[in-house]
Amino acid sequence: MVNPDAQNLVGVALTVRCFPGDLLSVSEAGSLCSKVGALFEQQGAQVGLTLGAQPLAEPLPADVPTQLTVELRARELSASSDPLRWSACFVSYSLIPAVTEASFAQEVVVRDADGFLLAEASLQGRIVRYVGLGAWVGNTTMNYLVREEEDRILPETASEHLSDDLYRQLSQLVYNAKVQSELLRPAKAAR
Amino acid sequence: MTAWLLGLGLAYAADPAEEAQRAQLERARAQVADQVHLAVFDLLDELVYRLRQEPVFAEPTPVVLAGVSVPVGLGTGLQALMENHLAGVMLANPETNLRLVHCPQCTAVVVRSSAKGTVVSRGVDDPALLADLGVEAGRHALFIDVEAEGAFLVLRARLTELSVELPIVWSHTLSTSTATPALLRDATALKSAEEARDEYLDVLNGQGAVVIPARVNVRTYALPEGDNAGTAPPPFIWLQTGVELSPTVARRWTSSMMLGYALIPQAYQGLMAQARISLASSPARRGASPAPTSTSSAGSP
Amino acid sequence: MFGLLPLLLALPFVMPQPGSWRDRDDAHNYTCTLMTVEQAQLARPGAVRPVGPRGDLYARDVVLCQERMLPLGLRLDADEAILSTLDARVKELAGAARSRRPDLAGATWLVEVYYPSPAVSAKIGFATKNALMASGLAVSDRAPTLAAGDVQVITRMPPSEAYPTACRRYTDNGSLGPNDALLAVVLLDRQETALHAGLCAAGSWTWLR
Repeated sequence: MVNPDAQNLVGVALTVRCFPGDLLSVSEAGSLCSKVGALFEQQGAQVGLTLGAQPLAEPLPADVPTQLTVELRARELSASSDPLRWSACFVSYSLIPAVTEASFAQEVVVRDADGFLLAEASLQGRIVRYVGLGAWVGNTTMNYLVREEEDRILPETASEHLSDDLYRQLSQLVYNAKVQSELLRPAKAAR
Repeated sequence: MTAWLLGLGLAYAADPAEEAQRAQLERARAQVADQVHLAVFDLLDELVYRLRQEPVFAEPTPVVLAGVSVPVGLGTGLQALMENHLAGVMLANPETNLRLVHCPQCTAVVVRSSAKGTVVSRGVDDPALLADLGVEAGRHALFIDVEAEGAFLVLRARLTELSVELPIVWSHTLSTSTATPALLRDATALKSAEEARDEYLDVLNGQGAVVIPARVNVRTYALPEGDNAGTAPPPFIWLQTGVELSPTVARRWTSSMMLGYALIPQAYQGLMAQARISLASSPARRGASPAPTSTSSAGSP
Repeated sequence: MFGLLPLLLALPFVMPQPGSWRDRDDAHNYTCTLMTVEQAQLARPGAVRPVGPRGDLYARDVVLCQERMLPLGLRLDADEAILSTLDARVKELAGAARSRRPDLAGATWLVEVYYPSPAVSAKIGFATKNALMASGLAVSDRAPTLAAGDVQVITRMPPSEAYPTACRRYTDNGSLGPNDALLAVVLLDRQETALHAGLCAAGSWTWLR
């Protein structure tokens, strides 16, 4: 398994394309691109970032042996909030928590310099949010009386965990694609 | 010298921690094996059921149980359980036309040396050697593999003809998930998964949302502690009735209020009131899923 | 009210996300799938209230969460990554073999696996043979052999030379006949979680995936 903190992508020129859409605005797509680009730069790759199908502002060096393109798209799968729970929350002055839930998918496609598909994945996530005084009191009590420090659920916990999982998955996917690209290179050269 | 002693001390200190971790892993593996073996038995029942419905051979054919493998990470205890269960179910279902035979030469490790070289293999991998050892021709080898793939348990089976070419004549794949309850089918009266689950759901749904039970309980109580404990109290017979509400699907949640009365003439009278909310949390109570998914294929010998 | 209590309180008890009773490691042992009520009724008959004859008061989705058969940590992460999706992987490899070389549809297929763990190798081999059988190909349990001297030479070669050389030797020493095709399932890099497939037929080696 790949360690995201190691130099896994030395000798790789990576173009990261982030496509805005229903779930990501242009600025959010740009922010995602920056973070993912930084992740791959940490692993030794030479990275170029662009939004959508636009060309790179500065082309990557052509003499790097492995040239890959990573395309990132996000879409919402579902969003719901139970009206029965909201009614109970309202009637109980938020002692009974209301629940909202959203599921989303991060589509990742990795191609080589010729556009050949090397790897793809649909990484799905789900965020459940409890709203109400009862939820806040219960969570705070559990945080400081029951849970270990690393298990505490704070406002930023969900995004930290999601980011951590996403970066590990992306690192592994791109590494797999790198090996696949190196495997296919002699066959392409022979042609 | 000091460094050597320090290293030795550190190594010794690390061992108990590793030992503890290893023991914890073994306990976790044993626990998982306990929970998984019923699901494995279910898959084996389903396999034999399908072999009975669609026999591979027209006539009873000798078959060696050549290999049973368990999920990576679990031990040989589950393997023995699987072998025993499979043998029992196959014996109870001769309509499969698979007659299990004992062949120690088939499963033993054999060594064949010749001018071409020395080959170490199991008997089933070298049918020519089996013939030299006197094993009768026309036998087949049955291989069973069970693997845990995420939330699914997947059983794969294949039948190989023990001839020089070792062709695979039949293969089958079945899978089931953690939330599928074990059907615990009777080996002598195997029925399809759909039939078994329909029967189960009929029993659950037939009871309705409101049930008024009338129960007779026999309760025994432990002897009080202390030197003057006296004799053990006799069993108490309780009569209980009340109401059970289950507004959810397949009686997932049940709430009940019960009243009870016990009487031992001229000695004891007891009254009990009980209110309870229960969730059907065991897999056997969580509803059912369709038959395990399967793919089957047969080749030509 | 008593009967309604379970409806109000049911939800937090069954969600597998980290919370009151579960930490993050526990939550990782669940796989959750979003589906419609109709799909959930097929997957779990009796567990989901069906849509009423006049429809529901509000739109409903179902999230079906299933606990992993083996909790994470009982096996090596790399092995777990391969085994968790073994069925899909071998079906893809078998499909690639069948579609890339339709001329070998009448051949007898053999399978060899090159993976660090013998136990996982055996699993991959078993699953690949079943997948090839399911796609309609004739499969044999035979294993091609190499002389000890060949093994000593080939194991010292880089992968790009080792596999083609082994393929030629299998054909030269008669392990692979003219009507045989060998599907090799290979893990090229210990850090990756993808399986590659190579084909040896008539002394010629090709990477399929």
